[in-house]
Amino acid sequence: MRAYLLRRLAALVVALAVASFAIFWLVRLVPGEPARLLLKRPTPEKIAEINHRLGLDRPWPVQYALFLKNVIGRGSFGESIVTGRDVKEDLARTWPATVELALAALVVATVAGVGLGIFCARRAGTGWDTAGTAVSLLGLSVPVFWLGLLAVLVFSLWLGWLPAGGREGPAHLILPALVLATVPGAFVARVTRAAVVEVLQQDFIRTARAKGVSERAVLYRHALRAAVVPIVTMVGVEFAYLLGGAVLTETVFAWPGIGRYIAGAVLARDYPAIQGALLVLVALVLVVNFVVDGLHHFLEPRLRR
Amino acid sequence: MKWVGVAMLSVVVLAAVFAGVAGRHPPGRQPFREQSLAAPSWEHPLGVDAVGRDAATRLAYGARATLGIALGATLLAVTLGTLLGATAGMARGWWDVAVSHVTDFLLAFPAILLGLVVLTILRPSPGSVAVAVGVAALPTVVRQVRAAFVVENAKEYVLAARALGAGPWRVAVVEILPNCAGLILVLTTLTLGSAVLESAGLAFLGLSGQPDVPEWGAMLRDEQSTFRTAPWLCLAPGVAIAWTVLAFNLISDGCSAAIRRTRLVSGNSHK
Repeated sequence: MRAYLLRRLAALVVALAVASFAIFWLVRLVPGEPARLLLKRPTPEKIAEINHRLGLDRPWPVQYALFLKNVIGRGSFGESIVTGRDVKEDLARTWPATVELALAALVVATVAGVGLGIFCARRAGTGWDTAGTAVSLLGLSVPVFWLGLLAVLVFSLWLGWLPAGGREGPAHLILPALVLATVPGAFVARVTRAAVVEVLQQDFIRTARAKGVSERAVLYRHALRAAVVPIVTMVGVEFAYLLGGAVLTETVFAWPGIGRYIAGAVLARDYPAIQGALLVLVALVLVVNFVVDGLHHFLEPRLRR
Repeated sequence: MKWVGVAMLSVVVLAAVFAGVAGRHPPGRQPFREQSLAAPSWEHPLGVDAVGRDAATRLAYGARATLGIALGATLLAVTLGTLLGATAGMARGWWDVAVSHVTDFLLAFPAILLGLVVLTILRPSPGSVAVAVGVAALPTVVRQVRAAFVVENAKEYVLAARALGAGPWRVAVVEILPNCAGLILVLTTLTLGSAVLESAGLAFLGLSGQPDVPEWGAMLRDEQSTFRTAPWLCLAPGVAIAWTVLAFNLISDGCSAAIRRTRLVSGNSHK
């Protein structure tokens, strides 16, 4: 177990290093000069000034070394070109909002998804199963930003029950979390249904039924325990996914998270902000995946040897 | 269920093809300015938008733009993805290790984020959105095609072909590729659905460039400003997106179920 974790940790560090290099190169891949895209009336002096501010006037190994030194040494990604603030401050404010929203959505998605999955698996092949499968397929097909707009229309503007946007209290979390949970919830439902259906066909379930275990105990004590590994793995993957996938939901609900920040930064071509936000997101996703892999290893005895 | 999807998709394709004939005005015009924000009526079944365009006409032109972007993205993802996956699965060695590691890394991130990253490099335009969505869909295609090639490569018919002197290209293109056609079909329909969803998302964020392109996601972005006074304008593009994506998902589910059935049958006959 420890050897495995150490190996995964080393892989994590390598992945982070490669990702930081890719993110560093991203700005340099922009055709033409970023300064020309940023300025409405580019003059040679202004271009030189922006290039200097982005550090683009030095050879690239020096630039990369400086980039790493700033990021690791001072946790700094440079100044945002749009707001003029240090990107670090913006990120320090936005990332807790994203993690909060992702966690809330994860809880909703897991409870609803596992529930729907078990519901369908117990009734596999019946009309209820078809209906449940249709619901999860619909959840995968509806655009979340549109669902968000509808939710605001119905629950904020017409009924006046919940706030339409922003992040001021627990009530503000409800609509974005529900909307963000649709796609992962539908995925979890599909995986749960498939896992439980598969387990229910196995011999030990037949044995349990044959010796007279109640259907309820068969499902919750025998089948679900065997199906828990794929479900836990799925939930972990979904969490990593939610961290980066909240871009649209955060935009619709004016939720001040990294997703909305990065979308705004891409629109404004704010390169330091894009780099900083990407690096934080990549680190968050990689760490979550590392934890999930460890958990998977812990839960699955066959992998421990 | 597959045929339900095909029927649903035909409606969208018909709208896209006949947008010019059935539409009330060319896409760039705003002929109903006096009736701006009019509610749905016989005259304008989906209402009139804020600048005087018939919403139903715009929706039909939107089918063209949306399907066009999705087709472009899918073409890119499936051809390039098949090429990368096939070469990785055939060649193995360092190339396989590199391709597999990069796809595994990228698969940890949602497509919308990968699309955003690609769009930081490209200028905002519908074409850029197609490229971004296509690149974002690459990892899934590469992984699946690679896995299929690895499995097929170990089978006896490939060994037989090799024994008869077939080189790696012949084995890949003539022997293995036809056996992966079903998988590639499923991947294509699946990618088409997610491409509609993701390009609409990116356009909704304002990254499709020109504001007058009637792409459905961009329409929702425009309609957001009149959301309180004319909520029906927001309804149609969203339904259109969900409708199209659901159609592709139903087709892809149906195809993969059919392929699994034939696999089972042929697998039994080998025993």
